[in-house]
Amino acid sequence: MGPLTGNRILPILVVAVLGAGAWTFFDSFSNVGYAPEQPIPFSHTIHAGTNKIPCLYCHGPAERSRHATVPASNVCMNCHTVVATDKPNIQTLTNMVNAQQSVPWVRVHRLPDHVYFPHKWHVAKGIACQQCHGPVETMDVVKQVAPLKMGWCISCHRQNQATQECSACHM
Amino acid sequence: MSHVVGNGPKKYWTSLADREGRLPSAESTGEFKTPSETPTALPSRREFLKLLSAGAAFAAAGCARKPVEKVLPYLRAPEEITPGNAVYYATTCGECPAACGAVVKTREGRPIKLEGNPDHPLTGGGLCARGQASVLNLYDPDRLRSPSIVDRTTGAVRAATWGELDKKAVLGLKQAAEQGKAVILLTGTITSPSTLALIDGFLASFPSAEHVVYEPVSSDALARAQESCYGERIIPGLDFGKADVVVSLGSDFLGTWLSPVEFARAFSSRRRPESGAMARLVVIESSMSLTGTNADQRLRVRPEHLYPVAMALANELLVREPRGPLAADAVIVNAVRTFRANGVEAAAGIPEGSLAALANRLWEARGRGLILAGPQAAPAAHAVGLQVAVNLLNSALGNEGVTLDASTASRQSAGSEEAVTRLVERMRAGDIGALLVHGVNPAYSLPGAVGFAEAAKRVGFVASFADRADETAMLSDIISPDTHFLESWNDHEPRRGVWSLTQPAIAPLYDVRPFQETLLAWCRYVGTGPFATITATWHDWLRDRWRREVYPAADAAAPFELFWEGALREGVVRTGKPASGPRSFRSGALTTLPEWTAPAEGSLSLVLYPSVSLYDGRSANNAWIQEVPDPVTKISWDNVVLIAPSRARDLGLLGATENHLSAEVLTVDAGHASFDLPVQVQPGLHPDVIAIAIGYGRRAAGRIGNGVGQNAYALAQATGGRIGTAGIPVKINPTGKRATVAMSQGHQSTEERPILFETSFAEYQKDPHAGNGSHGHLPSMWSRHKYAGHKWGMAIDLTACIGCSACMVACRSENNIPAVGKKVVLQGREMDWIRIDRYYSGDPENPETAHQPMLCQHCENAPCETVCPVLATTHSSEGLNVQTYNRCVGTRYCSNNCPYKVRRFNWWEYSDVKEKSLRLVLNPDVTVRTKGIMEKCTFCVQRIRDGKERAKALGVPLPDGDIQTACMQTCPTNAIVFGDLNDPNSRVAKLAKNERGFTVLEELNTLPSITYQTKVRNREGEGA
Repeated sequence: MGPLTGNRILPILVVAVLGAGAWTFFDSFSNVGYAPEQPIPFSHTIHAGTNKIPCLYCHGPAERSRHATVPASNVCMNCHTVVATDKPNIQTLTNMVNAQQSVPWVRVHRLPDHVYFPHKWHVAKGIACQQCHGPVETMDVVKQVAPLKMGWCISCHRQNQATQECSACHM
Repeated sequence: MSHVVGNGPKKYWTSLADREGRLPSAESTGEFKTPSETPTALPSRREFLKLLSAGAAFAAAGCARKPVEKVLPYLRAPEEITPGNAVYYATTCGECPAACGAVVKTREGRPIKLEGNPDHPLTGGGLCARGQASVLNLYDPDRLRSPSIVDRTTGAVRAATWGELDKKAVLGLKQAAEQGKAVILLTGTITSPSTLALIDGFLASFPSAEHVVYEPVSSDALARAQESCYGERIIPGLDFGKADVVVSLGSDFLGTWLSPVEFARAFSSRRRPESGAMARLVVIESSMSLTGTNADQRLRVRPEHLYPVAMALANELLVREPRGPLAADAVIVNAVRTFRANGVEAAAGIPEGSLAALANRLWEARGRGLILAGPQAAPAAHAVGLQVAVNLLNSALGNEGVTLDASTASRQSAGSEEAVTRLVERMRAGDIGALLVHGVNPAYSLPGAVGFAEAAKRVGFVASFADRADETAMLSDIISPDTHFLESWNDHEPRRGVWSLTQPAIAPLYDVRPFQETLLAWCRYVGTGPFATITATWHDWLRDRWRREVYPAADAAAPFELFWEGALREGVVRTGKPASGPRSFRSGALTTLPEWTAPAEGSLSLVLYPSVSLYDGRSANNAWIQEVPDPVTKISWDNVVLIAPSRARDLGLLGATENHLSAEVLTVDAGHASFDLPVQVQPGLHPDVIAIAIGYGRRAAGRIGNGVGQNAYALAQATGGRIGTAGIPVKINPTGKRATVAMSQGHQSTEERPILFETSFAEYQKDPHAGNGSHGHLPSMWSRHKYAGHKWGMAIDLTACIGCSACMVACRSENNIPAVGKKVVLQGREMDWIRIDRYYSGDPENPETAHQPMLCQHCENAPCETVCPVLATTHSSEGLNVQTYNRCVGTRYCSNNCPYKVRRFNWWEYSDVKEKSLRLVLNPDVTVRTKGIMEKCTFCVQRIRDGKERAKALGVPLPDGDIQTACMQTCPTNAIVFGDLNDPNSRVAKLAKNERGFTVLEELNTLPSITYQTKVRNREGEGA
């Protein structure tokens, strides 16, 4: 290595600034507080809170698959062919269903592609949905409350003596 | 020939250069070249400011997630689909007419992998490399996306509507009928009885119509000889499971002929040394086939000599030492009298006495033998004669009716060479009014001398059912693209009495229509014949036919609805077969054979052969297929001229092929056609033979397959109604040019360390440890791992492995392994997690071959784990050597420290698949790796997880054999066994302790989790 001349400082500076930017950027990936506006203002307070509809009624696959899934429109229509049909938002939904259009919900919780997270085993262990998703039954607009990052996963796995194998989640 | 057996390691080599210690250095291979793309200059001030602002933008972007993702749920959730869970459907592989039983795995409605159907009576769970790759054809972006109309003068293809296309078709068909000209449907082999019945109805719509069947990899000679010898034009069912001695005269039944998965499975079932008996395979051939590499005894003869060799065997059995009832038949004795063994041996250049010994061996095993000949292995003039001779041998030895069974005849190859060449003549004469081509590509695969393209111009109306604008479709008026087999209904009866179904696993991706649906539509529009008023869809027709034909024959107790559902679920149904028995040989068949004349001494003879990967070239646009190295030559992305070592030496070409990356280009001139192709030395080839693989040189396959290699069909002969692919007189001339050849083996050397062990069956019977270089426990600095629960392991039987490479494609499909292309293979940067290493030993002119699957050994003392600076590769509590992609920073230390060279580095961003349709084939359970990280075999960790989750959900202990890695699942010979080494009753635990078991490079004390079983050869003259 020679002395740090201008030509050598330049790339180091670039790396430092980029690094600082990237740090802020990647930290923001945790997305805590992310609460995007949805195409239909679906309220979990009304459904899960007031009316006490069990989470798994709509998110049934959480029990038998890795995905909890956003319910198919026909699940909405199970009730809304008769319930609240006078509300404009329900009419919007009904019109979309009649027009064979899927509702373009905005995704709130997202894990990276290199993570395998099976909902079903966590549900089977009796872990409440709220433990990771927060008090959804009080949310008019769903908001991400947990960072959903590896350290956060591991701390819970550690506390509960669950597996800490790399290949349990990364395959 | 003497063999070193049992004492001391045998010397193995991968190429002549390796054998003689002249491998090129690593530097010369280009693997460690600095990529020219690497930016070297420092950023200018302006660029620096740009970068700076990008960093600031990064920092500011933290407020909202980018990109915002949408979740589009089902409108109406299908009952059988739970997002995240796979759904499997039984089906039938439609890649080739072997019609192997298959199961298709779908995720969220997308087929992502094909596997063999374990309940299929013929093929079991096995599937070949091409079958495994056929799922990729579904997503091929070069498929036609709509019905198309072709301008025959300019070759321009334009999209059309079905209405437009049907109108044109009906006009063309009606015109042909009005002009009194024939309507011809030209297809490949169709194993679907329902489709054949539908075709009959279609043809009946026209006053003069005919179905012509043409198969480029033809078994016509065999069927014709069956007709002349036994009175029935069939291909008998072959039962390798009953054969103690198999003699193949140029028949590549383990690699490419008729039904390789079925044959390999049955053949290997008799090759288990532990059972106390072992079938022997004798191969007499001119080129080096996959079957030849598995021979216990291999004799090299020119293709011209196959016929006299077969006749000499008959002479030994019936004349020189008359045995059996046929020896009393004067016509037979007269026909074979002149073929004396010693004369034929001398002329063919095979060891004296070898035919007499073989005849004696066959006689001892009479009724338990099987003699086969390749229908295209001999020159056209003697192709039928060779088959007649083989029939005579099988009848004389009482194999007929036992290992060859007419009652379970095969439908798997139905083409007639005579019919197709006569068709082209009639086309040229202007007799054909309409030609409809389905499932074959005659403009590509018929020998140039037949002149299909010119003749097609004289046909009033030509329609193609190809899924792309291929060579033949370009000569058509319309293209009515057929569906992929996973998109449509079909049935198959590959062998009499074995029925299987194909059900759509996905709606057609594009605006395409099943071939059968199109025929029905045209019948309706033409308005004559039995289907003029038919309203049934193809599915209705198929189901109705099963109700009328299959259901009564299957003798099912349940009502039809339940039977049908059961058939769909199981995928396969058996119907009763008629009583079988030996047919009597008609000696008259021998009297019509042409006179045999000897080839000129030392003249060069060309042999064209279908390669295990590309077969007849039908899926040349499939990158998985192109990337699988040929199991014998280990070359991918090219065909080459193969030449024997001694011939190469004589012609001064040996040096020209030393460097595995580049070879001298020769002009191959067969008189009527010629082309340039690089040359490669192939040990085991007859010195008077050069061999070239067909299936390459496509011009209109698509972006992957176009211009890869040369079209060797051009050199084939067409004489007297037969298509000749062997024994073609040929000249080769050096061009002075060189070309690159992507060979995936040859650059690695084992440095003479023993990597595999072998013995003979005789030695094995004396001592099951024979040949096994295993030494037992070695001292170690490491303390052993403790595996409390499972300890995953694998056993690979080198005796069973035939090198077919199905596992390589299964692994690619399961684990999202990219195909990297020729340029990158040339740099030694192919991505396969499992490869088959092919080793030669002995005489380079006729070596013995061993195939060794090589994959991550999941070592207990893993050298890779100790050098990873970031703990990206670690040891799991179940003995897996796991790779955590998101930790990997790409130092490649692990790969450098791996003694088995099984780790693969992502030099490029392969995950960024530009063609959207190709993303659909990815397995969502396996992470797609990005540029700059290391990857390798995971023992299919996602399948282990699935198996454990299944057992957990059921609350039962994990059953042995429930978890199958992708390679194990597809292996036609069951050479690979995976399981829990901690379970003393598991198959793998027993195999790991077996006397034949050894681990590779044991002296390094890496303690692999994979145990190999020594290769046992059942050589002649060594007892047993």
